[in-house]
Amino acid sequence: MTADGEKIEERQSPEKPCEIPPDWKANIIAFACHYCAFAAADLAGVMRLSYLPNSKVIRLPCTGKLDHIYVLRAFERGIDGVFVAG
Amino acid sequence: MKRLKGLLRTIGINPERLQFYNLSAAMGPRWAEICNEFTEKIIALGPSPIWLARQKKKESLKHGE
Amino acid sequence: MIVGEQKPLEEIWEMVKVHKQLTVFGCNTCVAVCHQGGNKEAGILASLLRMKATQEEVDIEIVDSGIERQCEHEFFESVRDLMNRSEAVLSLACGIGVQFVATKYQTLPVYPALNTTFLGDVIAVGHFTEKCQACGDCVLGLTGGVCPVSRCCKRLMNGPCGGSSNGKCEISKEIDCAWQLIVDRLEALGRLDDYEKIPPLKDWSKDRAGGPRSFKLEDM
Repeated sequence: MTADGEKIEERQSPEKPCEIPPDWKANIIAFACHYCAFAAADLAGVMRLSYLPNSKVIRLPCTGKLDHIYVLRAFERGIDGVFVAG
Repeated sequence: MKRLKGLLRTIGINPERLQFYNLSAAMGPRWAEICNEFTEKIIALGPSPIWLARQKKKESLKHGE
Repeated sequence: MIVGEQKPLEEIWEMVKVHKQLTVFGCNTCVAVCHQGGNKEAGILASLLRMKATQEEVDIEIVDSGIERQCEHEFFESVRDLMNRSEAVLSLACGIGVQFVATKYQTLPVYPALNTTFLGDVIAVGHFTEKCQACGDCVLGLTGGVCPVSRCCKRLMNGPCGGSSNGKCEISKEIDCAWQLIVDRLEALGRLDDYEKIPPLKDWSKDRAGGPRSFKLEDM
């Protein structure tokens, strides 16, 4: 595939646009490394920073522990977004 | 990573819903920033198609009872 | 090892969507090495199919499982109950494994999730190349360990054709000329004189020409 072709494909979302139900709240899973991102999240707490409450953090011993299947299972159960920090 | 995004695309989920960030232990404020930033992005994208499909199924089950 | 490539999800889905229950069944030997058919890939594929089913609003129970090898009876012992419960099996094994399941469980529908592509090696991480055609009469001893049957596009047995240029094949610039490799290798071994010798005729009757081949140990 050419670089151009890839770019064009990236831009289009495979999802169909839809109406957002009123009771919907973004449900996000954050996979965080115990030693870096999780500690950063701790620090954010200690610093009493406020941020949007939609992200649920899952602590991994290391982001290397992340497996394809963890992310897929999250989506399978209807999660709206996943981010990994480490 | 690239493979996962490809997999999500084949199943009709926007790969934008998956993101990696690099973060150190000293980056508390950055964490808060990432959470906000990513949440906003997801809100803009709307609910995932899987969530919608599951919701629809739940509704139909309710009506069936 | 045997190399396979996963079929497109759509094609797999079309095959299996008629069932109410499906066991996605990995094979953790050859096809696991090329990250296409191992037990981990079975988990991933099952997850994708479940998401597909949810979106298409099809009621189908999809479980994933797998064994070490789908081409030997012994390995199936551990999944006896699962197989008896299954309504259909999507096998991530090579063509051999799929057929083995089909023969072993006469009334169980089995579908292939992979296209079995070739017998190959791993020349670099994630890069697989064809190295053997299982022709049944190995000539590697004469050719310095480079196989003209699988690596020469024309299966030539008597030196390069006119299409060989700068060590590449005329079929594609990406393909090395097998006979160039053979000559280079014989030279490195100091055996270039052997190249001049006329080898005995290759026995092609041991190839696929005689129908499916088999081999049985006398002492078993």
